[in-house]
Amino acid sequence: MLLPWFQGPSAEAVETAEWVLAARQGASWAFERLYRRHLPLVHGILLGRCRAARAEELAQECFALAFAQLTQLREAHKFAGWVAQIARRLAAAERIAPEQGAEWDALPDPAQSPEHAAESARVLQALRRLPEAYRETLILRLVEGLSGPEIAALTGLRPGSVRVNLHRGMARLRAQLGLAQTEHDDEA
Amino acid sequence: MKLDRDPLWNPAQPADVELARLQGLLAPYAARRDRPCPAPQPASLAARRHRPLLRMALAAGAGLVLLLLAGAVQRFWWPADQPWRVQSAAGETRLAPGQHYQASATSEIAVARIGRLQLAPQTRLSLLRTRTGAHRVALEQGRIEARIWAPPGWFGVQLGAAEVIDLGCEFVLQRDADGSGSVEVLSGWIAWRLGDEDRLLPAGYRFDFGPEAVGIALRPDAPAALRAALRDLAASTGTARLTLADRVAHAARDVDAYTLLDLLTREPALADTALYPRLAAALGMAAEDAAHRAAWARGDVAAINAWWAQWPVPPKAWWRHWRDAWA
Repeated sequence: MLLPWFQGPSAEAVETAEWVLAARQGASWAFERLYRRHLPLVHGILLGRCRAARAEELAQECFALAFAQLTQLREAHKFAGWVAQIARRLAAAERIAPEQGAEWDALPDPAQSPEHAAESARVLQALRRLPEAYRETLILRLVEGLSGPEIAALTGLRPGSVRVNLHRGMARLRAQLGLAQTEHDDEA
Repeated sequence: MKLDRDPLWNPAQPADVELARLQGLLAPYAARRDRPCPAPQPASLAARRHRPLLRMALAAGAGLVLLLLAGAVQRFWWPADQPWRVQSAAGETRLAPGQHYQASATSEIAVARIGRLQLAPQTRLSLLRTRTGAHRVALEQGRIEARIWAPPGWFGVQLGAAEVIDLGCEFVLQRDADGSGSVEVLSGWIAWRLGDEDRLLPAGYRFDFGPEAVGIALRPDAPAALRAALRDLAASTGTARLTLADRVAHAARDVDAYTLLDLLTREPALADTALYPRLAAALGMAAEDAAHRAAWARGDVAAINAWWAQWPVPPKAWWRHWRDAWA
């Protein structure tokens, strides 16, 4: 049995720390890798609170801020949690997306029919009404397309907690949308 | 439902009709991956903003430097042969040079004033020597976690004929009664020395060793296919090695870059296989430099060092891990 103090940070966290240290030296490839790995997390947090177009803008602003303040990050391997906090602060400063029509969360996609766009916006707004723990996890899965292990690695949550959030969140989302529950919803 | 068959956990699994429909409706809201990475704030702008405070900052900085120097002298200086403090559930004792210590329970040993060792139960080690700049223990068997903040080479662990040398870091060392074991680096670097062979191991990697040999550096989460390919490569001879080297390259992820660097440094001739372009891709280097590739395959030190210089945190930058000083 591993003694607790013998367990180090995860492989992803160690790699992230290497990138943070390289970015502090000005390595542009390191900024790129930090951005690509953590963009779904930051965007997902912002999308859960702000209208869709604003979430895109704030995500860029979040990374610009994080990169400018990188020397303030005390533990390099905790970049994910740190940049997530910056995203949440930015979201808190925004007016929370109220219940609006499809135009509030409209995205420039000419291929979408008005009915499809309206339904997409309705589902997104139902997601926003979920408790925070379920909301963020479910957005990372259903919107950003991440798997359970990827969500756990980015958020620092235990895999068991991620799975609980996914299933219970899904059960609540179905209930909000008036959809039938499946036998696996609320499974934890 | 098993995790890997759960479509909520594993997006590759077939979803029910409603889940698939919801995913389709929400997918357009995903983060746009085609947007470029935001540029960090230019250093020149930051410098202009802080110019008015420059003199105050310099004065404060000079004072701080003097304070740090005084602290460093106090931390690093150690009288020759002064015993180390050992703490365990049984109480506190001292370990002097030439003495053995066997941990009956988890124990902590203060390495002079430059760090600490945590010992798992039944670990047995001895203190070989201790003075400023030279602290050495011998690990006979068991498991230690070392956290050291000091210039490279100030602390080392003897393992029979081999030696693990701290380069300013945190590492876990396991040694069994038959002399085999493993070392995993949690922060910084270690150097492994056996006869004329020196190997480096960075944070996030480990290697296994036997009484007279050491394996290739691997991440603890390295894919099974990569481990199998490396095992087969180590056991092979002749032209079969070229095919097996290609297998290693195909099984490696970008995060396994140091594994490839370690392998190609030990066996430069394998630069003629898919290992070279795979390492180039992982390090973000150009793979089309035929002259560099040929030089590497010949074992040219300058060519090999050029890619070593790409590693983010160089071995000698031990001071970056200053938090280990207050472990």
